[in-house]
Amino acid sequence: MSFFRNRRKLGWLAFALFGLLVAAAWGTAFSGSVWLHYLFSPMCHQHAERCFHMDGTPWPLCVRCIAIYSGLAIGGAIFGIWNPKRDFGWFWLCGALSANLVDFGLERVGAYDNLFATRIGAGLFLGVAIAFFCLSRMPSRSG
Amino acid sequence: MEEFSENPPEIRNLDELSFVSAFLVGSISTMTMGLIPILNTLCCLHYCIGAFLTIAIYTSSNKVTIPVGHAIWKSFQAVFAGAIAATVISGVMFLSTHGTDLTGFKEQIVEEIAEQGQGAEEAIEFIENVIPDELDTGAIIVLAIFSIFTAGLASLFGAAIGGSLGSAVIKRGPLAQ
Repeated sequence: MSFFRNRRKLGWLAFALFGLLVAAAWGTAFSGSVWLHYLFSPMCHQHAERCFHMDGTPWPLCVRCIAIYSGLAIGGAIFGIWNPKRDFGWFWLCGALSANLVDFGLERVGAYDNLFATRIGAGLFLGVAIAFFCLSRMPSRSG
Repeated sequence: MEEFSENPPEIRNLDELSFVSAFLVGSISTMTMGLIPILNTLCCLHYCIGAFLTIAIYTSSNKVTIPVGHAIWKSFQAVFAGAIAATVISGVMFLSTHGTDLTGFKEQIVEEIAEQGQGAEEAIEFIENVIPDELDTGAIIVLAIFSIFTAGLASLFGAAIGGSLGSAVIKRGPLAQ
């Protein structure tokens, strides 16, 4: 289990796991398979108007989910390369959560409607923040 | 000369830690949230919360800090069990509400999908061609296997996020080995 105590390797594992998930979502939209589309149904609401489309076929994950999982993959890769020694504490995680809540709230009150740019920005921020928070606070700091 | 008044903290073995209460809390919370209509549409949030709760109870009851790999594995077990239970309950509720005649259900789903606009034609075609008008034993088995597989996939990613967060946030003692 020493693999799971090495932050750098774990960063690359997160990159592989969540990168594969995003690639699978892209592949599902590319193939147009409805069976594969339903494979992702427990992970996302899959409302078509909130998803990217490929030749008219919606991706099986919404824009915010794609952004969060991409952020986790990117955060893992950055950690794998950089391996910073500082502890990324609550500040960034709370900031990212707040950004998503503000985006969700502003859309609910009608400030704007279905804006992909804010969802992508807030989702990416949250994904990277979670990856950095978890990896930098790992109990073992070897690697 | 100062004397040490306290004993050094005991390093616990991961295999000796009690998991029953954490498993029950994690699986029951995941199952409950999976059955609440609003909560289960917030992507995989209920899996993440279930995984986090599992690790919160696990580390608190054993008074240890656990490595992230162990946290992901333990939270996956609890979340997967909860997801399976939610799937079974949903299936039983569906059968008791709609019975094995799916004609009305298909019409309802097609109407909902048609409102989504872009990309709806293919999904409607799929539903009309693949979902039978009458559920037989074979179809129920295929759906059950497919549902277990999808629940496992979602549980894996939920546990990876929620379990890692739990391991990073909650530290209740020395790192268990």
